[in-house]
Amino acid sequence: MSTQIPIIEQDKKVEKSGTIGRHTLRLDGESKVTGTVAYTDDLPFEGYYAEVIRSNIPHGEIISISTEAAEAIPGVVAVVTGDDLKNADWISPYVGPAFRDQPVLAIEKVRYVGEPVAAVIAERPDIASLAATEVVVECNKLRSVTDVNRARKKTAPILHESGDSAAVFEDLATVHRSEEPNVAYTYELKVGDIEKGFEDADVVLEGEYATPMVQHTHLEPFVTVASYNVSNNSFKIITGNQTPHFVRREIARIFDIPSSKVEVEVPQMGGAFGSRTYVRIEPLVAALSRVVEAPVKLRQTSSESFDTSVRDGTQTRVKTGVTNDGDVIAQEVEVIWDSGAYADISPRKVKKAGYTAPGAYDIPNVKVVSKSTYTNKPPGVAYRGFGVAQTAWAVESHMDDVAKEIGMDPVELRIRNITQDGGTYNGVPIEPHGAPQCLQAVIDEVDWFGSELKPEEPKRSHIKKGRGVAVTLKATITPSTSEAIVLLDCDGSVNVITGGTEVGQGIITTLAQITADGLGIGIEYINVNTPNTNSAPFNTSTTSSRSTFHLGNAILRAIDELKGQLIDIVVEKQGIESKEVTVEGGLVKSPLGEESIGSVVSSYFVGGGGTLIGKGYFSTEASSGDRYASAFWMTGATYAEVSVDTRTGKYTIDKWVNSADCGKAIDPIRCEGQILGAAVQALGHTMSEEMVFESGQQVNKSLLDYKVPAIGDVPKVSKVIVVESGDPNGPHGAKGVGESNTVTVPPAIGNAIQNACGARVTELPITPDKVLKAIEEGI
Amino acid sequence: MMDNYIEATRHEIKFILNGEECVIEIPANLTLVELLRQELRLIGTTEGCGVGVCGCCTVLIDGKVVASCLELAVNVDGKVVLTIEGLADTYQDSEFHPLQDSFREYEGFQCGYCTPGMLMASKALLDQNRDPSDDDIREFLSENICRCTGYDSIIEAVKSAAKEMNA
Repeated sequence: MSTQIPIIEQDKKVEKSGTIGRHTLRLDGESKVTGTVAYTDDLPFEGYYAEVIRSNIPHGEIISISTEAAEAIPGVVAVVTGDDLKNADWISPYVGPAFRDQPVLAIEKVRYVGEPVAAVIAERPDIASLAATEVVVECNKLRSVTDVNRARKKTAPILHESGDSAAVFEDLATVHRSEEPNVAYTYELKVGDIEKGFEDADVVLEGEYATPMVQHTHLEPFVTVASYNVSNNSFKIITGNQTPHFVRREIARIFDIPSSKVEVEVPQMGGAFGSRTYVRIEPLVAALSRVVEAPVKLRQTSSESFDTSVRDGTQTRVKTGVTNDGDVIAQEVEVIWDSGAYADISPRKVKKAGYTAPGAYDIPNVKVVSKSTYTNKPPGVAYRGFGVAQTAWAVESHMDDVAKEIGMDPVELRIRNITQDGGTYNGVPIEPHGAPQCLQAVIDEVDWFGSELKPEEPKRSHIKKGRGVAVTLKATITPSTSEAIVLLDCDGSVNVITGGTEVGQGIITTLAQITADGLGIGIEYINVNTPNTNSAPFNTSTTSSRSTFHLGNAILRAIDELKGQLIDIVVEKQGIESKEVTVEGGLVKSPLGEESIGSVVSSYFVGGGGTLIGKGYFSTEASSGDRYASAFWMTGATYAEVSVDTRTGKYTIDKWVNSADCGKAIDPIRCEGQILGAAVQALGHTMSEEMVFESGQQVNKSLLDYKVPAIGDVPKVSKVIVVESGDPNGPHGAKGVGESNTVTVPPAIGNAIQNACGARVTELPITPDKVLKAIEEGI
Repeated sequence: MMDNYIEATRHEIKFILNGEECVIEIPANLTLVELLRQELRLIGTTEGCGVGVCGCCTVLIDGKVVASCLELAVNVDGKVVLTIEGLADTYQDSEFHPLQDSFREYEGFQCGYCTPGMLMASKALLDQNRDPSDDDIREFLSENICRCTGYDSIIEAVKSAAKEMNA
């Protein structure tokens, strides 16, 4: 832990736009502060409007859906039900990235309250809304199950009898349905000899921890426009989606048309956080458009987002064997995921988050069992942190419980066991990741070992102060592919085309910075295109904080190729050796002189213009067996300081420090924004956010009742530390930074509360009633 | 009855929108955000939660902060409405309002969906308090949700704009 931690000097001034490591005004900034930016719903639209009719029971057989009254309303064009899709020869009506278990509209059965059962298409949105209330769905209620433990019993109602593997992704190629009732997929990891590890341990401690379902609450609801063109059997889909190429593939597959006949355009998105991954409402809107052979728009309400995609709840059991000296020598983690009614990407989540369930620690003997479980609830999908937020809540809380048990400082325990840069993890070598540096950064910032919190004065002795820390190690999606096209015009300006989507993270500007630097030109000459699958080359996803790393690398390769072409042109023109020619600062330089890159392009083509095209492909390699390789590792740490009122259980966060390793900050201010943004989102998961279900129905399905952090909830004393460990494979050493603190905030706060008053709250969110109960029960 | 519901009674309203008089006939059940976005194609005002909680659709009516998703459009008859599209024009002859510049400088936005509402609420704050403290800003912006930034950059941006406007 003696390594010098590179922490960047934060410079809030814009000095030289486009320069790597300097703050650059976002290219989409002007449009966003003037309100001229266009989200999907803002685009001009002529066509029909849809409204979805949803199941009001958690589990049932559909007996009948009566649509006549709705269809009789003037302005209603059609009412579509699962029956219309089930027997149609124009659609395979099941979708999903891992298993094709989710129908576009419920077919024969409904499996959760809020599941789309039918859709009304009308000339106006208000007519569609009214008509939707006239559709009557009659169901035969089935027994439902909303608890993951009950769901796995032999007597439990079964949600899915079978499920076809989607066979799209290599890392899910071996994913198969589990034999256990309602278990979609089980991942197991065994490292070393777990039994011997526990035998050799001086202390063995067990704990159980839980997280509820939560929702992304991106402020722009789901909006999709689909236009079916009957003349050539093609679709245009405009949608806020993080995976346009997957949407294209899935739409092409379900309608059995070539993917070139599916154009997916992604405008700016009003937040996503994983919610807009794979397919959401796109197949439904495409099907509706196919039925009426006209453009259809579906704009859901923000309440309907809770019906569409959520974060899995978890129940986690951790058992740890530790020596009296504080060496963690064995750890067993069992995570049961409440994945809702459809698997979506849960198998990958279960595997990937399962792999790092033992936290950021190098433990010689490990056993992980991680199970995705079907329940009669909305489907769990990707959410910032991709499962690690849930597993880390368990393991990082547990580490403090272990420290307490053996009488060791919890930070000392972490330092002793943390996996080192260039060390091993789960028994195999791990690439440099920066976890020790992130931990060191927060404990140095607060002088953890050299300071103590000052207790309250005696008359306020009911207020107890405490502090806590958490650290994380998280993988990124691997393998994956990103491609980029860099178009150099004869005036020296550049268009960058990728499938990277702008969800708010600033990827457009980050890619422009990388391009500007690569060609040595000003960022004002660069345009980064809005993704459209008709022109954009493949990109696996804008998820997993992968874009700077993967798209950045693809762009660097495209620029290299472009430079090679520029050199070839000059070599041929001047009859010199290619090694004598260089491209830098926007100029092609040779012993015979220098020429601007635009002018070289101009000289090469005739007819009033020309475009030189550089392309770059970047793919990462798959892992083998039960290991999960990662193209890079996300790491971060949080320190939290709390005051707990032991009479009420209410607590305040007096100070917090969040660090995350970005490898190299392409733009330090944007990295800070990702770190704090992730932390505050997790503050909501810590303090208030929970989808509350009663009899299978969510009862707080609105921002009125589902409380996300407001400005006054954020700790006033705050420090964000951008750690730059330099990723060996990242563009300029950069890697993703958007998720680490979504993981570390809840356990850091939980640990601080325990440190303050001895109360261990094991289930998120940490509400005052739970704190008070834990205090009273002396947990 | 059904037809009556769809075709609500129509009213002509006259109000000042971003400095210009606007006369329009609208159905009685139209909300202000629907009037702005659908009838007038002013898309800068976004609609988030639709229940008056998130603050995305914040506009100023006679200088006061209003959630336009809860306000019936007929209620702005005779009033002065300011939306994000009119914000820059309220400040001297500059192209942008200082808040717009400072939100860019400090990245007081990410996805931008809450930004028009956040900017309008911030303008209302600066209209009544030229030199707000951090706590003044927290209090005044408490009904504007941002899910991306973590808010600190918004506080910095508002303070910076105040400084610029007082210079």
